[in-house]
Amino acid sequence: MSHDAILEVRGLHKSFGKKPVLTGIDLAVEPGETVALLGPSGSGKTTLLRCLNFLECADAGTLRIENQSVDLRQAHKKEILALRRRTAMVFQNYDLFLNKTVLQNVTEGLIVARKAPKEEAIVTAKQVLEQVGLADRLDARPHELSGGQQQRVGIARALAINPAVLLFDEPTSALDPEKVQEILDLIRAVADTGMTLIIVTHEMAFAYEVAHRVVFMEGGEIVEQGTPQQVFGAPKQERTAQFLARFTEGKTPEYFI
Amino acid sequence: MTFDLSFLGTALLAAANKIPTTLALALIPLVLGTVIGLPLALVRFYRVPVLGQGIQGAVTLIKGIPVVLMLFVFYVISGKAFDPFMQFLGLPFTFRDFPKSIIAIAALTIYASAALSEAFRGALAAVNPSQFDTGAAAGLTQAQTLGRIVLPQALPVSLPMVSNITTALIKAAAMASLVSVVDVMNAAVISANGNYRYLEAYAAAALIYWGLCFSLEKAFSVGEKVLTRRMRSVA
Repeated sequence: MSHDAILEVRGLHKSFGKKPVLTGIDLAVEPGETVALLGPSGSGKTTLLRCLNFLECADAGTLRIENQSVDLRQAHKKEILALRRRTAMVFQNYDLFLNKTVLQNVTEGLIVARKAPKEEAIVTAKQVLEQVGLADRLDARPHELSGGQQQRVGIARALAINPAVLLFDEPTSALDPEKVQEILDLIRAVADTGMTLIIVTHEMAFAYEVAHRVVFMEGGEIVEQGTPQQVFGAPKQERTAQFLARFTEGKTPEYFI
Repeated sequence: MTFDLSFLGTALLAAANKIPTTLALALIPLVLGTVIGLPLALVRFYRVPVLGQGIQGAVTLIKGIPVVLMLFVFYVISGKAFDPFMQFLGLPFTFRDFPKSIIAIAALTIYASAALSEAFRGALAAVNPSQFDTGAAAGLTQAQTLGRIVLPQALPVSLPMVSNITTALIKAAAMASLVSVVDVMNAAVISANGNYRYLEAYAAAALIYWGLCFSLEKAFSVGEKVLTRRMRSVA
């Protein structure tokens, strides 16, 4: 794969106990690319995402982000921390720091993890919170916010770090349908800024419209990948077609040309 | 039988004089027990192999005996070992000079460490495990996540238990009178030694223990409210 890739995984294996979850994942992501990971539950998409920032430690494989690469079998604590600091993650259940205010949630990773000067971190944090439309809730606590607002903070917290790769783990799965669109629009705006995104999602229409590339996973493997037009319009694999059928059925053929 | 109210006042005064002793007997073990119990709780929480099981066994053993038994064991051991030890060091002290309150504080500290380690372990388990993930994902080290995210959330959860342990310690501290420490309990009893008005003396001691326990409980519940108001966990 390309040397220009900002993130590259090779031969990633992961098992939980004796159960293999990922069996040899190869994936390269270009700078500025938005990659959607699709697939049924249990296909390993979330585990793959969590292996990329070491929330799960893979059993084998290599990972490179920007110019730092590591053998996943023997990654040291320091390497893990350094690689992790090149990424940010937005969680399904928002997972804000419950003991911190909105502003502190965003500055924490800057001040504590990245040793940014406090004043500078606050300026950055206010900027990104403005960007996600929460400039007026700086001192609110997570429990005072709606789900949609919490996820906005989650996105702001990730943006503040200006990561090489921004990871989204089903960012809208816990939201009501109205808020889903709101958050998807926000993610689309982030994608448009040219940031590199990897998104695990079940929002097919969103993946189709926003992703540059769609990766379909099943049984711990990448079954098929390509542009949304290729994968949704003319899936090469029977399983992909089957999985996407419910989404593609209602669409007119020319939609996929 | 009459109840001598004026003597109740006298006994109350005598006992109240020793409130600092009782507080020291209870609060020093509380502080030491926190310093010892928190690391023990963390070792068990992180399931450190061998050490974790060892601590669990020790906690079970300690919880399975009365505090007063521990107190007596400590008393006997220090009574036997103190004089030879002082001779060995060449110091002119005997067990008579040894402040017995140290024995009580040691026994209560062991009890408090075991009880507090359980309280902290429970509180740590009450923090949503995803808070560890979110700290890690933000680039915090494990220690930073623990210190800045997890423990501040666990602390308010532990407070009701810590409050219970504190009042238990206040009451258990009365056992120090058995090794001739003059605390609230002992001072009340001593005040009645001349006129045998023990009922009044016990009533005086009870009033003081009630006062102490009520105020401590109140203080803890205020602390708990203040801390949880700031971070009610989200459903």
